Amino acid sequence: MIINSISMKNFQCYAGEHESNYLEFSNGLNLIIGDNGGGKSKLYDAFYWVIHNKIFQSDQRDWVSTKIYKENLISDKAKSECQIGETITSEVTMIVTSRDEKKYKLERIYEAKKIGEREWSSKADSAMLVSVYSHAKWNIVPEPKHEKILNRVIPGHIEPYMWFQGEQVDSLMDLTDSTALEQVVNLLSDIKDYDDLIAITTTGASRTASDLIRHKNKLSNDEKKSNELNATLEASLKSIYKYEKDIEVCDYNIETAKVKVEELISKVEDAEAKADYKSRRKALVDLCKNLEKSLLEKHGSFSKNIFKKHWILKNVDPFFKKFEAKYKKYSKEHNRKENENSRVVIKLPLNVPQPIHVERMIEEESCFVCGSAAPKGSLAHEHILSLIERKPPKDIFTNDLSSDFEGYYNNNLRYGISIQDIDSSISEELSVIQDLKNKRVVAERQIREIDNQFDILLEEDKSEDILGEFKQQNRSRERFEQNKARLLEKLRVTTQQRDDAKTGIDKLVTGEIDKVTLISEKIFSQLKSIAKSTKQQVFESIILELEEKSNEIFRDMTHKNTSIKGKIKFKKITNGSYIPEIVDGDDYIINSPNDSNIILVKLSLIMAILTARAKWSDNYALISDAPTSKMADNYTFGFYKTVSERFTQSIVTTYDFLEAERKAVLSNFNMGKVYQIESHYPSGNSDNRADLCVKITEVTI
Amino acid sequence: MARDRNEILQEFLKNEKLLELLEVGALDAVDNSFKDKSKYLLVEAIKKMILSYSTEDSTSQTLKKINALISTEVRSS
Repeated sequence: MIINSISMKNFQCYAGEHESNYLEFSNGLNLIIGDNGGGKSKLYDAFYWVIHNKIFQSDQRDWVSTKIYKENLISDKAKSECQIGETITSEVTMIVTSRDEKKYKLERIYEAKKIGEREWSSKADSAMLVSVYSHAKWNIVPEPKHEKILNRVIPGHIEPYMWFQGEQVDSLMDLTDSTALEQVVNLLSDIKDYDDLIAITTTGASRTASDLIRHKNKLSNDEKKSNELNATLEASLKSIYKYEKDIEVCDYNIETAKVKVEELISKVEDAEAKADYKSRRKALVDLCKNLEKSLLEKHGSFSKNIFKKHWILKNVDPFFKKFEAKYKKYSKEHNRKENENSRVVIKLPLNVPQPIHVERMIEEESCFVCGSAAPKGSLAHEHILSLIERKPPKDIFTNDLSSDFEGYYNNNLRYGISIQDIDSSISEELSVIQDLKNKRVVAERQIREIDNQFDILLEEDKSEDILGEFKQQNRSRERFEQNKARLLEKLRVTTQQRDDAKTGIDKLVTGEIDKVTLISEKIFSQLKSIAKSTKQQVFESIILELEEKSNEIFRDMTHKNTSIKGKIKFKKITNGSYIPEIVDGDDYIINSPNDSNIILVKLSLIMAILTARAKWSDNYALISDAPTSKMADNYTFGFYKTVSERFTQSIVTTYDFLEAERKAVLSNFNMGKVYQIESHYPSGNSDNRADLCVKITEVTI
Repeated sequence: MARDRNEILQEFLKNEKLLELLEVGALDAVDNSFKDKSKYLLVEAIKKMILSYSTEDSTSQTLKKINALISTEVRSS
């Protein structure tokens, strides 16, 4: 909802009737400019009191309810002017408009009766009136509907980020807490829907898996063994779950140790040496990674070469030679037999020419092939006659494998050439691998050397604590990496046990498994994994969007300020969550950035959250009391400009524009109404709080 | 249910894991609509789940609806 106006009657320092304490607002940045003690915070209190029935008690730094604060919330001036026996009220009225253009009036009223000079008979609590404007008049809304309407003015879950005091900004988000960003995303986006769907599919997967186990048990031909295997399966599933969780913890600890080491490096004072160390180390670590990758590839291709480069044929040369000799002998004998037989071979196949044609050739005494005459008794006639009597050729070989042997021999010749090169090919590959290994050893040694040099640098830095902690964190990282390796091995073994148990159970099943039970289990298991992966995908896209948006806002807020360095980076840690960091151009964490910088980063993040997907900034007013109170003077203009452009409506109290020349800047912003408020003592005695009221003047920009 | 059900369906359908399980590079237009029927039972189960969740059914009701879908589809195949 958009806030149209607020007016106070005898509320805290706002003495007098609503008409004299009335502020109207429009879209854009509405500014209420005032000096300290001018009534800015009390105005913020008025907004809060209408919605929550609570007042900020400065000495306790906390919100207290009207029931406790009682007549203290009534203006001192009103109380002093009230006669004994009279009743006075403290009131705040707010008029708001919803997206569907409905106008609501929210009134909170507290009543007290003066029964003595300093004695009051107060109502136990305030009263709330809500009216809706229709048919040209205000119509009272029944009490049960109040909460819903108040929640539409500012929903509870976004309120801490939309309504805040300047001094609270720092506590809105803890940049060192790895879960902070996730919590904010969960709170302010609709990602909870995906958590709900994960819960549904997990329940479904668990139920259908149990159904399938029961069903298989029923079909088992050895119930006892089936039960044993199910027990093993269940135990292994539990262990797998535990190992996976433990590995996550290890990953988290490894990452934390790495981040700590990074931070320690940043603490070293010798900036030049530190930068040199960082770049040299990074180059060497990158080199190590590349060498490791090349080595892995080489190991992979080494195995493939067994077949690809025919290394498998190494040492078979003598067999090749033996085969060659035997084949030559065989071939010679084979050819001899074939040649012997060729003398009796009848060249034409048995059915060529067809017998009917041969018969006609004999009958007509003529050769149809060459067209010559073949009278009876002639050689030609005799030859034609022999065609009828011809017999099939004699099969001289029972099993003729000559073509196979020939193929083997040809392969022999082909592979024989590569066999000669196998030794040199293997040694060539081995020398490349050894070369890579040597380079890796050298690079690792160089890393150790520069680490040692860095230790010396740390010692020279006289930061013994840093040195000690640096070593400690490195040791921790190594220890967690070893633990992780052990857990991964346990996980591998247990996963194998799980698979064996599943196979064992399936083998015991007799008969056909019910298709619906089987497919239900499969579908729900798939739904569960897709739901989880979709949530992660959505979460990561929100994070990416937030990172871009917060940097965009950060740049907007700081573009005229050259003293501000760094950018916001959401660093993914291995448990899947993200830590917001302020990093330099090389992505190294900036340690000890100044407070103003941190506040700006936090405000950028918060504004990114409010202006991203859900577009809270379009539908709700940002209300803040002195948001820049913890910022350095020159950081504030960027903030106001950004707020004015990115929020449909904002209502901000400030002392930043008290001077006339600073007010001129406001003409560059998307402004709403601007008011100047100041303490006013009608009788002229500024020590007398019983004379205090607030003078509100609209300022034209 | 804060988010639009079509938006949730789109997020599910562009998931790599789903495409991998279905062994496809991308899904067809019919898969992307609650009105049309997909040839993949898994996609239909996802639609049923989102529809039931968006109408604020309880977990048991949602699971029953998915189970009924699977049962009908398997028996008719």
